[in-house]
Amino acid sequence: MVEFHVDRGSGLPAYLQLGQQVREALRLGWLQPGDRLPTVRDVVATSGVNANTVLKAYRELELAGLVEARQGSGTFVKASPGSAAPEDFDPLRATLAVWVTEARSAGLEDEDIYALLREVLSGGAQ
Amino acid sequence: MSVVAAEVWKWAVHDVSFELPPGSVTALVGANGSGKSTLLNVLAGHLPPESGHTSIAGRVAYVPQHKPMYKNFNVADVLQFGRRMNNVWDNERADEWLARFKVPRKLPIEDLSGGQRTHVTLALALGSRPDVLMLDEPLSELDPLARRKVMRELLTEVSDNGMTLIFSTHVVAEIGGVADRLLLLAGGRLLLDGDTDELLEEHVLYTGPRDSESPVEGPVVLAKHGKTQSQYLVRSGGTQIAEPWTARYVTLEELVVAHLERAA
Amino acid sequence: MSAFVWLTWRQHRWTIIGSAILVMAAAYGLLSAEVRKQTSIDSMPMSGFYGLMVQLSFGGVIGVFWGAPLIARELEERTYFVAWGQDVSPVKWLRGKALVLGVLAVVLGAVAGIGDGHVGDNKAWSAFEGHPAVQAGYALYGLALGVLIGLLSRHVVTAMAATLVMYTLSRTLLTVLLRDHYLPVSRSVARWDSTPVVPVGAVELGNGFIGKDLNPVGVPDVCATLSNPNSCMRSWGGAIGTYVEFQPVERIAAFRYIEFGLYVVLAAVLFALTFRLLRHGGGWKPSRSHRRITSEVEPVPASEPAAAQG
Repeated sequence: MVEFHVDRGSGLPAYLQLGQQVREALRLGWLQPGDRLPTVRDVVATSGVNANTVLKAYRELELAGLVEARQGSGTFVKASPGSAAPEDFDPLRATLAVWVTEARSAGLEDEDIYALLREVLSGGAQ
Repeated sequence: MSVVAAEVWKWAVHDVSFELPPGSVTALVGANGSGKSTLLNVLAGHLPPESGHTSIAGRVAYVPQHKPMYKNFNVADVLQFGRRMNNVWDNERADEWLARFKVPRKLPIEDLSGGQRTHVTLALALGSRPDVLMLDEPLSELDPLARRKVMRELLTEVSDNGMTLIFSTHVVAEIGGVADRLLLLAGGRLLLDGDTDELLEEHVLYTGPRDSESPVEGPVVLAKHGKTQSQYLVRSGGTQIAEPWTARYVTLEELVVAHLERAA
Repeated sequence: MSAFVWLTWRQHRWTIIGSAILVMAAAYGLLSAEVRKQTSIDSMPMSGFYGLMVQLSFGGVIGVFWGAPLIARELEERTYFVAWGQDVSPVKWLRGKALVLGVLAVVLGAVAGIGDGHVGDNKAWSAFEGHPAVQAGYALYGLALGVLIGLLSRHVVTAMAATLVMYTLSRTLLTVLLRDHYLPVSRSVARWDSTPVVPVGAVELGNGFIGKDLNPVGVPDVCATLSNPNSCMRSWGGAIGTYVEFQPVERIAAFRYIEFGLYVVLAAVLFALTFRLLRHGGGWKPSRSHRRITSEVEPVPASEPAAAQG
């Protein structure tokens, strides 16, 4: 089950934050295909998010092909995002951990690591 | 289709017009004296507009900022009052609200705390099962924990009953994810009216070397120039930007403050 | 209607009880004064005096304590948001409350006008106010006057003071200027040798000289300056005698009902005005002071929302 929360200090629209949290839960394997997402009312009652925002987030996920709404029974996870399966994560995480240890021993602060990562990510995207 | 339509002129409000769809949650944001209370009073029918019109489909409940209630009534009297003065009265709903927030039943209203009195007025408003609920600074007398809980419960009521909610506030940080609609008032004029999410997606802040020209196309909301740096908040700008400029989305708070600064 | 009976009782029970005690005591005083009359005491008994005071002031009491605060308190404490924010419209709200209070005021008024009056004789001009209908009329008038002043002044104490002044003034003026002339005065005439006869209990309203056609004649300048115009008029020859104008005591019943009718009409006019004002948005705007209070409650300006978060 995902526990939604909205960071009100963030510039990211609330519905995108919810979508991101579902994607994250899928990547990390907390949500599996076939799992049911919490009902809109439950999300409203537990996280204090507007029902329209939750609906919008679910609709966005549906458009992305990640979930499907089944008439009368709720919203269900259809697929995982990205091409990588959750089990592929573990070796990658291990490699990254090794790299982070190297970076730290080279004297990099966390800030430097983030900056590097961002640079590499944005460079790779171009 | 809209449940609230307004076009209002009043001494503190100039040509404010908007329409709200049913089931929406609207935050009315503005500084002191920006006309929020006047606008709500006009909408709720307690003040006639000087010109223009308001139309609301359905029954309205309004809780003004000072949370008025008869001082010598106790909770039972308030519930009785609600039952006898309304065509529709949901005693259970009102009673549950009072129980949820542990409002003392025996004390007269004048002996209750500001927060407890807020809950009594909210219970009366909710008990009448309004189609449109208008709240003027509903959270002003509540502690931070209660503020979240009240908002959560109100949103649950909205989603359970298809109610339309309009509330005014000056704490912009609290409306993220809560309000799907933002009305920003300043000096009695409507500065912004839009879907909160869309507003957030439209506004992008660009930071870069000092420059008198905006790096992107689009209406500049606010430009700030330091010794070596310039910042441009641009509406409808994209996040794609060439070096050395950087782009980021802004928070609702930054967005609101920028619009207020521009209007000032 | 039961809703308004409940609401009126819940909100005004202490003023209602207070007024009822006042009236009960007056009624007791008036009734016991009557008993003493039969044991032959001519002077006014203390209890009768108290009764008279209540009879003279009852409409004012209703106006000041029931009428004036009715709307003024809602406006002053801004509970009109509560009162008029329900399904019941302001007009219905006022109609309900005015009806309940009006009926109560009429009943209490009737009780205040009970008995044979403070002098032990109900059929006397000096005991004019000692009649249920008259008291009921005053009570309705006081209520209507207070409610209207309350709506206009928006402030309880001001409204109460203004109601007291306006009630006293209007009652005095109407009594002095109008009451004696509800019906044409009776006139008793006499030739020079005798004096005109005024029936027992009648109230004397004026006198003068009559001419040959038995109608009053004016006093010519020659006589007006004299200290005793009587003999001057007699020798002048323009007059054949004197007259006295009065209202006979037999008319008192008719006069009381006319007085009742007059005050009921006045009350109706005042209520109509109040309802008209209320229907058209009350004719008020939030006063300056309300705006000031509003901005004090809101301590954090929106331009510094970061500070408001803490």
